[in-house]
Amino acid sequence: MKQAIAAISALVIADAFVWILVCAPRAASHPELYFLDVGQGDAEFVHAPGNIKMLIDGGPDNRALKELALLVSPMDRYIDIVALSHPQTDHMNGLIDVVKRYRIGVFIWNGERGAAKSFSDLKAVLEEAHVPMVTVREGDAIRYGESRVQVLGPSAARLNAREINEDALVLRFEGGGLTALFTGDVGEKTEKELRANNLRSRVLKVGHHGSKHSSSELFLKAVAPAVAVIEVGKNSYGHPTAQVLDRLAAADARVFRTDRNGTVKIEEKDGRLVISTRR
Amino acid sequence: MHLHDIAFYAAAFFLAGVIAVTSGLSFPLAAMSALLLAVFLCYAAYAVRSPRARWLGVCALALVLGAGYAAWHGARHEESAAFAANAPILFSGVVHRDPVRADTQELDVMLEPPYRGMVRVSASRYPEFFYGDTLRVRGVVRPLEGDRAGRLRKDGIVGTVRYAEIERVGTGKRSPFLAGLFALKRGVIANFERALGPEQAAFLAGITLGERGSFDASFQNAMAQSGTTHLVALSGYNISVIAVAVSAMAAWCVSRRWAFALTLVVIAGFVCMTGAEASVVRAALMGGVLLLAKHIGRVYSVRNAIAYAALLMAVQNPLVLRFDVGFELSFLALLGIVYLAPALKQLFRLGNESGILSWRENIATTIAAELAVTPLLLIYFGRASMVGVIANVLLLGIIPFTMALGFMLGLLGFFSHSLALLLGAALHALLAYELWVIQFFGSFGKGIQGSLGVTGAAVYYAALVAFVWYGKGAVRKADGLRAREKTI
Repeated sequence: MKQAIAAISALVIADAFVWILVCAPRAASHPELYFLDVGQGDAEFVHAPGNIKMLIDGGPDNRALKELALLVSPMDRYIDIVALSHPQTDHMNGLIDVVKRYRIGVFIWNGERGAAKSFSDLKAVLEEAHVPMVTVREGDAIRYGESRVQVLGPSAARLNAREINEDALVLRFEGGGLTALFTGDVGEKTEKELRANNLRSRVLKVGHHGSKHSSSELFLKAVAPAVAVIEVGKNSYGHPTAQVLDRLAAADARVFRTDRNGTVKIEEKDGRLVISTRR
Repeated sequence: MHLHDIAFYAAAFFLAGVIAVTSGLSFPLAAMSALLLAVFLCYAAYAVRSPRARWLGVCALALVLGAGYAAWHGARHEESAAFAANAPILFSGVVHRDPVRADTQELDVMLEPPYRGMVRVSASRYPEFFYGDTLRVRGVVRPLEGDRAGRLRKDGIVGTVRYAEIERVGTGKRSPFLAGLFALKRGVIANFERALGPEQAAFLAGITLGERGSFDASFQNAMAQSGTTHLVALSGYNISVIAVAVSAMAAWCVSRRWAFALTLVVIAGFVCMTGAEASVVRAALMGGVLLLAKHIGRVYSVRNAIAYAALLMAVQNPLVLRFDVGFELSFLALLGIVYLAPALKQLFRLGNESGILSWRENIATTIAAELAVTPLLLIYFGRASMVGVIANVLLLGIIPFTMALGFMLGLLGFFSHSLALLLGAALHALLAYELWVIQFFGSFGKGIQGSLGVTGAAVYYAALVAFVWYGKGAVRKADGLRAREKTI
């Protein structure tokens, strides 16, 4: 009798738990940006109103997946857009685990295959999951409600040069008073070409983990970020370099680093940027 | 002496001979010791006129057989031709086992001529390689050294390779049946991962399929400190869940004989699919004996089943007794549960009722298993949990239920993602609780720390045996009293 009561009580509690999960998907009322702590690599997550979710790059391993699990309800297994800036392992490998575990609306990329062997694995899991793979170029845009993602690069001319870092997707998000620029690993060459666009953004994902060959003074002047986030981990390249840190200080940007601050969350409330970190 | 007693003692002495030689004792010395023991026992039998002692003396000769077999096995498995020291070589081989995947991949590659033997290659997470792939590898083959050498040799490994260049040049060069089983396992794990968060999916894959590759270091530490690592070592729980499910389903459509055969086949398939680690092979062999005993209407002897399982495993690979920590922990824990738990129940007056979620049974079996394995944990790992009893009592009642739902989720995911998601939501509650218990008790620090030499362990186990002996007497006395009370 006692065992029956215990079993029924456990079932009722479990049932209530399931219904809470089913009925209460976590939806953002205003855009939230997350710069995920994935070590030496890039992974950014944009959660826009209407429960629109976009993941830009996946880092070098499964840390992006673990971070995603903390940001998205366990019952919510759908990501609207997965973007690969360029096919290098520190941006790409983590996406393989994400695509295996979530349903993806669309995969956007610059169309370049690159030399990394793991690209074949990524392509295979995308094809197996029947995810549309869409090549985007400068001038393309994605819009949902008040949220907009502009593709600022690469241009067709840039792609002809076949420089893997410089050919990275450059995306600008705008919505709910929040603007953010995601630059992949582009360097000064591409930054010079990008200055022809409106780059002004309150948040900047610093290029190439803070390499001295990116984030030129003129580029930072064009972007004029209030907050700059450097996605970096342990590395032998000296990232982020002192030169970039000095340039960001000169540009009056408040700097956050995932190696020191962990995952960085940025949202906009009443005209102000609200920033929180989690290590 | 009964035939089943003779069989048990012969197996026990055979195993003792295997352990002696694999621990470093030379065969001539082991054989001489066995002969002396046999002579002593036979003389004792003559002196006290005990046929039992005479039979023990005869059984002691099996020690010579065991030692001889272990020596022959060791001589037969020579290492391959020596590899050039510290110089990269180019070799080809076939992935011989299902790779272990974590942040990297561990590939056991059976070498092709001119080389012989098997090497363990550590590769980056991607691209993924699979059982049966033919690989061309360029790297330095390092010889086996240190504490790991025995364990790797037990797995048939002759060298290790790291930071190699690896290229797949072919596929499908091994058993298509096993390849199919491994693909099924990957599919089941993928279904877990699509319905649950990564930590929960990893834990569920651990308790159902013994997959531990996805656990990060902090979680492994939490399991060790909470005394719950055994939950992800496949055991009798897994075998019994499968056996009950298959028998129940088969009983609807086939005869009892075919249901029995089908259950054995499915259990064998599960063992192969999960990599045939020592604990699950032991459980499967014992489970098979139990099913057979029920099927043919014979009495099941746990003692003989344990000896039979250990004997078969030692014959297949004598090194497993000495170098497979999982094997040793699994057998010791089982011996503790079978022999120590009844004495503990008597000592703590737990009675025969199991209680809610079998808490009384779980306390006795947990304490018994912990007492049985603690010396080994101290010898191998330098620590043992102090809070394992509480953590396990809080978990053991619901783990089988979680396993059963997990298997259902793993299979349901092949047919309907939406239904799998719903079932995943129910499992989410159970898994969240289980992970919380592990993390909570894992934060209690490192527990008992230190080392225990072989002498210390021998004294400890002698004390345990004495306690079991005493406990058996007490249980018999209590049963006798209860029987008299009933009569009155």
